[in-house]
Amino acid sequence: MFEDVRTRSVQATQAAEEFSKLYFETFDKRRQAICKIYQDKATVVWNGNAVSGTEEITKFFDSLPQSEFVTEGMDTQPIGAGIQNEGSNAIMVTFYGKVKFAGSNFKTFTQTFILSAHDNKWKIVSDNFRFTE
Amino acid sequence: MSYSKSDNFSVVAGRDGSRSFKGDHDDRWNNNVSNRGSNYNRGPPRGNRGSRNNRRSGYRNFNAGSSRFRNRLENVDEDGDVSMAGDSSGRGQGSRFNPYGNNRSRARGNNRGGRGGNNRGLDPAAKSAAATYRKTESWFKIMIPFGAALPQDELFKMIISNIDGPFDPIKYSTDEKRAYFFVKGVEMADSLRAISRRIKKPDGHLLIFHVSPSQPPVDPVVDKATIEKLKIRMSDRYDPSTQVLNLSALFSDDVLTQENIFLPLNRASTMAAVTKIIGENIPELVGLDVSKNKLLSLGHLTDLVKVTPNVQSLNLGENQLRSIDELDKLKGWQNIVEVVLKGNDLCKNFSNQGAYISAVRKTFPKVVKLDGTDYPPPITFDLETNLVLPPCKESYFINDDIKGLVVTFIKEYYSIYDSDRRKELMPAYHDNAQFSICSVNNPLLERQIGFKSYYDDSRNLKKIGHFDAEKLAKKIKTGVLSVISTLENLPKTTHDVNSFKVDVCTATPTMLCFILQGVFKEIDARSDKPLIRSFCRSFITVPSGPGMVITNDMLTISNAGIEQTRNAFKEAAPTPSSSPVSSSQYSAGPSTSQNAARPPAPFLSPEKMHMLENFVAQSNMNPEFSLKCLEENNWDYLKAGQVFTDLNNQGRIPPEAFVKSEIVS
Repeated sequence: MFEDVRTRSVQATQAAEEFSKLYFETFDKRRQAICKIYQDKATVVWNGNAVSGTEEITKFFDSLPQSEFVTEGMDTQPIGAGIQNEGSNAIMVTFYGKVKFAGSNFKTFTQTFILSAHDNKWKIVSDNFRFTE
Repeated sequence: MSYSKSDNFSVVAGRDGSRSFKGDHDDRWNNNVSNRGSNYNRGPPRGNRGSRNNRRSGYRNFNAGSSRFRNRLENVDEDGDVSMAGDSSGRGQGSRFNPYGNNRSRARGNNRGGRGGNNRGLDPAAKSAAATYRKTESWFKIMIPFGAALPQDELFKMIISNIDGPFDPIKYSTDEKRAYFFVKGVEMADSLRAISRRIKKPDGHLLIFHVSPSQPPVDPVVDKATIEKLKIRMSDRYDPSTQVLNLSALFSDDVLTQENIFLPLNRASTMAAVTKIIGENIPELVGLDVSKNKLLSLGHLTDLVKVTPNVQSLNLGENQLRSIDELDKLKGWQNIVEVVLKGNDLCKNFSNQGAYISAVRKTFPKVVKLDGTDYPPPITFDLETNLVLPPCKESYFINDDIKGLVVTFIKEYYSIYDSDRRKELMPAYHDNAQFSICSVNNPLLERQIGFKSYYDDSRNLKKIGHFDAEKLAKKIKTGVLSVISTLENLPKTTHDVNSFKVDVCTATPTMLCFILQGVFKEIDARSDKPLIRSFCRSFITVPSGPGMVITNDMLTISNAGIEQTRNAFKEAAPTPSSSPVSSSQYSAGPSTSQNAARPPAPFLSPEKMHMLENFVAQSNMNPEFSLKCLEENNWDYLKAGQVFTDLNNQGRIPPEAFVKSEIVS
């Protein structure tokens, strides 16, 4: 049973690593493209502000000033490993770091994503962001 | 310093000075006020370290003879000040175009390191204190041309056998040809100067010492008592109604000087202390005046920028800034609308007002007032959208049912987690639950508290690099027994429930995902001072019977930021206007923390509440101070009582500790 969890953790780690490179780079430099990696009905809870659906999420992200993310901490776990037997494949990824939005100073933040794989593509199901202050 | 020595010195200075300007630059810096009597013959009053031109004019002054110097010193005695304005016009500089500066400030620029015009109005006690400080505390950098060829020990032996006084060099270094080291105090510098060109090196050449005043090679640490006094002075210099802090000419602050405290703001350690005090007490600061502080650079201010985002008005006037690029170091202050820069050398670089204001606006685009003159706002293109961050909101729960469920769960979970019985958390976890820890430094803090207790279990994928993925996977605790035994071994904690923010991001009939953020106190066995950590915990739960069980539990631990630490374990609603605390509140007392006025925390356990009541009754202190005393002694009632009795006997408990406010009752 735990062997299965191990195998899935290894997969999760690889996925998380790729995700972290892709996500923050895109968010900082090509934010207009970021929605592609959100699922249609994804939810973003950003400093307590909740938005769902790619359209709303795009609008919301457009309203944020230019960003500069620096991640310092990352971890991941496979979800449902050893619990659900269905074929669904999902992981939870957490980040910690600092971010600067134009017009304000660097602040520390935490961010937790749930990613789910469909047709060999990882998509964000939920995204939770908060400044730690 | 004895007369004989200084006589001896004057000869050398005369000889040396005619060859090298550097040689005697500093005796004036150190002695012209305090040791006037013994130093008349020392040499010319040349404080310029500035441009070539200035050096040359200083050289000429030397040849002009010492009588002029003597006259000037007599002036000092009469009016308590050195007339700098006369000095600079005498050098014919007044005729140069100078749109923004004034003669007085330029004169100060030329006398960097000297007392400058800032002496005005100081009383004699303050002056002599500052002068004594300079005499013993000032640093000198010694450069020995071709000294690199000599082994260090041989060089030092030669010096020691030729000078009378002590010789304590530090930070010896060499480059290709020269050797360098530092000495502290005028006396040691003078004795080295006296033997310059007196000793033959093994190669037959004379050993030369170039002595010049320097910044401390190791920054002196500002001790706690001094910080407390500085805090009080800063509080007096702060106007809460306008939120303006006036730190103008801090080094000659009359109150501090009377206490023999010399805190030049151009020293990194002073700036660090000031930054800390501001960050902890008045981060809402809107106006800052650091004029007349002999600032050469603004590098020390960068940390201050981080803690005071609201600064709108900045006075940097009459410092020694030479380049407008220095402002770039303060770029974080994007709300600045008013700047004063006049009286800095950099003003001379601008031939007209237009160039001047646009150079300032490169760093501070919103500036509309510069050196007291109003400027119309710049005309800009509308492309630059002024996007603002949406406000941070409280916890997000989707709906009240989920809120009820999650809040109850978290409350129960942490009441057990913070107890000695973490084992009892077992029913909260699914049999195949996973738990992992990621400990990571706070990137905004300079000093970090280590994560030794977490290190073995931590798997920060950012830091582990290309670690074997199999090995990393093993660091995830899998299975309820493994999870619980890990939790039991983590340091003891107390979480600040008021700091908690919870966001529910996914809620389906089969799964709930919520993220908790907040701070906790870590109780470290080796230290009695609790650490404040910041954490984020992401939970995934599945329904189980009437409640739910955790399947995934991810903990990120970092060090709490300055603001977080300040607000930790305070009441939910922080005081809106933190003014920097009246002087009296700061005097000793059971602690030095500022939140003396908070009411007893509402979440005390019954045992603690009972302890607190007894402590109030016995000590006669009010509940706030009693709570503080107990908390700081980790609720060790006897120890807290002992600490209280000791401090009280020493008269170190402030009177307000015994004032019962209306919160009592």
